[in-house]
Amino acid sequence: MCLPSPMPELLLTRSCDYGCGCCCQARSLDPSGVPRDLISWEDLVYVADFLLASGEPRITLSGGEPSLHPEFVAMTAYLVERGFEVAVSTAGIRKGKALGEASAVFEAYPPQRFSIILNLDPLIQGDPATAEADGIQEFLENFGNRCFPTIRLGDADFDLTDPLQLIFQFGMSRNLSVGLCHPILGHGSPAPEPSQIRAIVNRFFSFADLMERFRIQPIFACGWPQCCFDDGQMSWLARNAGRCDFTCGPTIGIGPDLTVWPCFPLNRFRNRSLFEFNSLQEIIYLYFDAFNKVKVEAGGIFPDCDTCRFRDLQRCGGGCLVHNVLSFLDEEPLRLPEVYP
Amino acid sequence: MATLILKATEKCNSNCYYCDVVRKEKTGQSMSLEMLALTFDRINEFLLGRPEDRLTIIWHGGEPLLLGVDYYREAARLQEKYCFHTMERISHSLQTNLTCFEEGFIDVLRALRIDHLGTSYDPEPHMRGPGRPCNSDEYNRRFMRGLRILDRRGFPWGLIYVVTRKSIERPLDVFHFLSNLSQGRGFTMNPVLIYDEERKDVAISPEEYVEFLAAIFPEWWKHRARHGGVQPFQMLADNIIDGKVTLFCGDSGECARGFINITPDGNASQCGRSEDWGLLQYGNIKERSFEEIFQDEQRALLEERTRYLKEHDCKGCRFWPLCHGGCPLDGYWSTKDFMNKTDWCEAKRGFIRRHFEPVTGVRFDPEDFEKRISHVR
Amino acid sequence: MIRQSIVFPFREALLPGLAGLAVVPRIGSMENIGDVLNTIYRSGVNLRFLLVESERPLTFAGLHQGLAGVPIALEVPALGPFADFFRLLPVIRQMNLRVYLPAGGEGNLTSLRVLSSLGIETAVTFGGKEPDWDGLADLMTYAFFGQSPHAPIAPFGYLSEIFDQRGRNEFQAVYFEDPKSYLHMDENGRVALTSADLKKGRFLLENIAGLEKGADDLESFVEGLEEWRNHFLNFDMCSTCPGWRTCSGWLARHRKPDERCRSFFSEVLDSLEQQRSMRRDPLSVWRP
Repeated sequence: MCLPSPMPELLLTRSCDYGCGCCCQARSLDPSGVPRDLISWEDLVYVADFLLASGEPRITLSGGEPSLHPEFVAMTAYLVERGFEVAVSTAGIRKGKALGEASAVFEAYPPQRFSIILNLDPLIQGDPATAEADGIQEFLENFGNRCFPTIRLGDADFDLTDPLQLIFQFGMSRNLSVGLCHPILGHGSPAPEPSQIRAIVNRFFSFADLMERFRIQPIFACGWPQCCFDDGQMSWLARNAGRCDFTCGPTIGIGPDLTVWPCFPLNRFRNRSLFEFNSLQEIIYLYFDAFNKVKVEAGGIFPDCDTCRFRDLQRCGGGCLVHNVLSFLDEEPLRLPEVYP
Repeated sequence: MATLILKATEKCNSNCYYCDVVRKEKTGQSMSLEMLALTFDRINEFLLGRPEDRLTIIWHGGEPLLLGVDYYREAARLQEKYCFHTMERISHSLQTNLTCFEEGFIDVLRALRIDHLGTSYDPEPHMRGPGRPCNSDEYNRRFMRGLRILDRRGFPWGLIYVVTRKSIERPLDVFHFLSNLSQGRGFTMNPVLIYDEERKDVAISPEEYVEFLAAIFPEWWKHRARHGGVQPFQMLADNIIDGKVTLFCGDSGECARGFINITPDGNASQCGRSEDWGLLQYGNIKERSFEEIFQDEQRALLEERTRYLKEHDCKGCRFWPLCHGGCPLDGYWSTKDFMNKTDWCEAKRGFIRRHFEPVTGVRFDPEDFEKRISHVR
Repeated sequence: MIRQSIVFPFREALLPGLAGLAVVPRIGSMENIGDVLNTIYRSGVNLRFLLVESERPLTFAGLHQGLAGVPIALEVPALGPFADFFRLLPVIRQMNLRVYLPAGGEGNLTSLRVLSSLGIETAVTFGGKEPDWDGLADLMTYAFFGQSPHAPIAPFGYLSEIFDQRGRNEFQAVYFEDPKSYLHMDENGRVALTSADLKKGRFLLENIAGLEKGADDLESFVEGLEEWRNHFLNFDMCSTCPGWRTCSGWLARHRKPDERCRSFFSEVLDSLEQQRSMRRDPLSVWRP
């Protein structure tokens, strides 16, 4: 069996002051403005040791909003100095002093050692996001050329014009990661119904001309059902070097308290502590095995997934696994024990 | 293997609270060099008559080092003179309080083939030292000075600690103290033996001794690699777990024919306590050879005791192979009759049953042990 | 012949008397360190290392590239702002440096771990403010059992090298207080076994010249090495301590012994034994 080797994601904090529509941590910052659930230095060192001992030199820092952590700059620099390739998943470092400090420290690092996964969701969600979007200009002037843009689509009402323009204007990577809002186990955050996904895909491809003009190459993240893409759209992707991963597999998340989980929508699925494991490979194997068992129990997001030949060929995972797990919750517990949270 | 306890002097520079030697009426005597020469002559005679046997001499007292460096230099010369053909089968050890130990002793003791010193220590105020009450401050400093010399010269030493009423108040403190002081060499914790009312304030009962050991044993067992061989734990572990047969003299059931104690004036007896109590006296080496002394008919009483106890008081006892009724003198004190098991019987059994076996998880198997004893013998 | 290194407050006038000896000059800051080094190199003494006792945090202590390769033991009260530290890190990595931080200083236990994980040798110092003993135990666990290679944290790394399970393990050499390796001299040339003896006026000799034939045969030197035996004149907190083997009463010179330090050093002893039983490879310092 060949195990996947996903880049582990470490939450520096669960607090966030952005309002991304499909995130369970949206607007979770206390009114006091003090972020909570912060990872300690001791735990950060432990995580770094753990990953390096597992032979994993890559790490994504996320949250909440990781730049809210008071030691964000120092912790990020620390990981780079430990030899990691660090990607920070953020909606932008906006506060003046923090941005200045970040620039002063990070500018010395080559892009392959320090990069940013820039969450453009606030820009595609309409008026409330605009005020937030204004703060991003200064950030992009400093870090635009290190940014890998990403968006998550939750409904068919979105406009990619501004985000695509910014990608081009500030020299971001032309690989745009396109995610789908998924339900989040244990949270009531909104996600599109499976029946709405095709409309979201169609809306996305309505910006194909603009993407061609700006040389944007979309990469569809995990959990998209292949059957929601028509032949023309698949052909466009093939011609424009976009990539699409229709499968679903564990990505490994680590919380500020060193709780681990298999992916963001399933961050409350079979939680364990990092201290229970001797290596990253043990964690991957645990969740890979659980995922396979879920897939045995349920085909996918649509009834037809059970008999879909692309699922049989492992070209499609039948949508995000969270849909399957959620469907088990209302049943009598008669299935394999590993499929329950 | 025979053991000679050689009380070369009854002089002592200390007045240890629990010591019986300094309280004896006959004090101040030291063995003359003539008597020492005779002793070596008797030893040689004995070993020539037993070509396969070995003899251990334990120099004892009083404080044997009060005899001075020259005495021991002469002792080495006498040994070479009288035991030239048998001295390869003679080993020595010496028990001292170290307070008058000097660098000059090192080479002389080595010449006498003494390669190990036994010592004893207790920092408890007024327990050891000259005067009454004992001046323990100066005593302790001199002891440490002696220990320093031994360590600097790499001379091996072992430690005996006497457990008193003061000790049982703080067993783990005492244990760690001794372990730290002995630096992993191991040490022995013996109960104080008090037979008079005057010093009852430091006496302990067998049960109290067992509780003292019980408080310590789990710590020793968990970290025995660190602490070294601590007695009586190591003896129990050796015999019950590690397949050895290494019983103390009083537990072996075989002390009858293996021990001799000689006083400065040449009087022979079974051991130090029997000499103090006037029991099992075997005459004087001026008139009797060692072989005659070892064959003294009084020793048959001790052999009879072993046979008797096995069929009566100790019949069916699971721990008989480890104990054999205990030291004959421990059984004598309360009844004035040798045909009694030791007063420490219940305590010893209780320790093994309630503490040693549960902590180690090993149950003593008497049949297996008997097989090993017979194989060794 | 003197085999010890001489620790002394740097004064140019004292150098001729130390010709041919290994020395550890003490200075209070990095200012004028270049002049200090030039003077030392011209003087005929053998520089073992510089002991810098700075009152400034590490990030403001004045480290610079010109000091690459100079052996420095740097005592600082704290690390300083992390952001400043990371800017200084490339310079620090070129240096032959050990950083001493007090255990009781706020955030220092964290700083020690971070520095060690980045490959910088460090040492915990005692005395002063009382440390968080639980945090110190965590640091000790990291020092012995950290999953990834990291620089040693003294005294733990040193104890790990010299550990004798049954005997005494002294680590005061880490703090230049072991008379077998270091002697202390004041500005008047008087020599003592330790810095504490120097302060109290307990001199081994009135003049360093008296050490021509070495110190080992001097009665007061021998007595000084054996001072630890005084703990065994009584049942005291040190002599009855389960962790005696890893401290030998050294900490009692800095604070009154109590259950906290007893518990800590007992845990150090357990950890050393566990480490030894795991047969770990020696920890290696990481340098890029």
